[in-house]
Amino acid sequence: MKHLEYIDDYFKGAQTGTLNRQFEQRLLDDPAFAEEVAFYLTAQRVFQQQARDEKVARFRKLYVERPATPVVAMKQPRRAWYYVAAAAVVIGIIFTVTLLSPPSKQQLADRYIRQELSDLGISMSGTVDSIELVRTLYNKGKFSEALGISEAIINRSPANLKALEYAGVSNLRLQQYDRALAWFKQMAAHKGYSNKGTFYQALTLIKRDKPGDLPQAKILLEQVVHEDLEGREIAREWLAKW
Amino acid sequence: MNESKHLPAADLRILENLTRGGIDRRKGEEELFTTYMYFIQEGMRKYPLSEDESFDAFSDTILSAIDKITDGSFERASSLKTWLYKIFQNKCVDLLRKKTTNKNKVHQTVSITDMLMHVSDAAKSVVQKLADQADEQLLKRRLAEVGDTCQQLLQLSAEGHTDKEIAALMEYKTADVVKTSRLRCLEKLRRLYNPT
Repeated sequence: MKHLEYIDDYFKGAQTGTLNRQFEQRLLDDPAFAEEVAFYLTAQRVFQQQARDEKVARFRKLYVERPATPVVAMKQPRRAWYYVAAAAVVIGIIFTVTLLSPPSKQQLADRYIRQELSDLGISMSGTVDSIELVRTLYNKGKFSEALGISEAIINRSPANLKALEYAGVSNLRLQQYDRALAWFKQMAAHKGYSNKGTFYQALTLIKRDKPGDLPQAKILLEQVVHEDLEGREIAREWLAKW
Repeated sequence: MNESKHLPAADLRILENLTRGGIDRRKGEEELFTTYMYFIQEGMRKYPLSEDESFDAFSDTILSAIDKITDGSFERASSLKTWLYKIFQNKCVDLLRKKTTNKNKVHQTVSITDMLMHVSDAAKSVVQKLADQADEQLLKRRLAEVGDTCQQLLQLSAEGHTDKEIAALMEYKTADVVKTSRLRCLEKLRRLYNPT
């Protein structure tokens, strides 16, 4: 890495005419130098992407933890009683409509993801293994990286249910629904072990929402309830609102 | 152009924090997000977007806005709300278009040719060909192995923070120490990525 400091100085400093010409000449003449520049720039792109992912994770946390009612700056009413009465009527109507209309399936799925899948928790063992690294990356919002490591674990041990689950939820959070479904199907195929594979398939189908997905999701939720699989309480609750 | 005197005080405070850098920048980013996060509900109401999708469109809006404010291309001719809402509407429409054409959303980062804007096309093409062969997924996995401090150093630098700002943020003694540590981290990453 003898060129690294020179490359860094070039990209972080003022790119003057003379410096540009020297830099360009080296790129054309020295393949090893060009390779280091390509590595440097690719790495910068990856770092920027990671930094963006982390910011989005921070934003998501702020959004999830937002106060129940948004704070909106209001002007002082001139005739308070008139506005209070009007507001009461409007609130009454909204309240009634909200009570009468059940949440949409998308809202149910979004709420579940927000409440149950925004954080995978941490291990209490104190050891750092690959699964723990996946959890840490996922909890930081680094879903692509969490996915990469989960896939590596699955390659080594295809029956690792935790890795299958984390690969699936990472794809789900990345809105790569087809891939998420494939992982959850593999997970559900392990009938000998209690797992949420079938429930997660239903959740993913609701999120994907292509023609035919919702009826299929309903069948899977009914299966979860009838076969007493993991996720049955939520499945029962959703079916009651279907 | 600087027409900041017409902007509301809250906008000015956010802009000042974002352009000041360091810890203030993070404060500015979060204030910008939370002040206008009600746009997410607007996105769900006006466009057929789920909450997650509307959140993505809004996050993209805020990330673009932060880039434009920090590089000085926000001209301050309209309030932050008006300007952000225009960006947000475009992002929602883009997202809908991508949904219908089955393309995945990608947060945009600067392209390699943009980073090499001062060199000739022949030299750009040499680097671009090499960069096309790079395995970004492997690089991401290796980055996860260099440790939290290294990751933070490299990310802050790639985001445009100077070594002096990073020194203040991460409590290093001097900017020179940051530079040395940063280059060591990069070297470590390079060795993990390509041990030969």
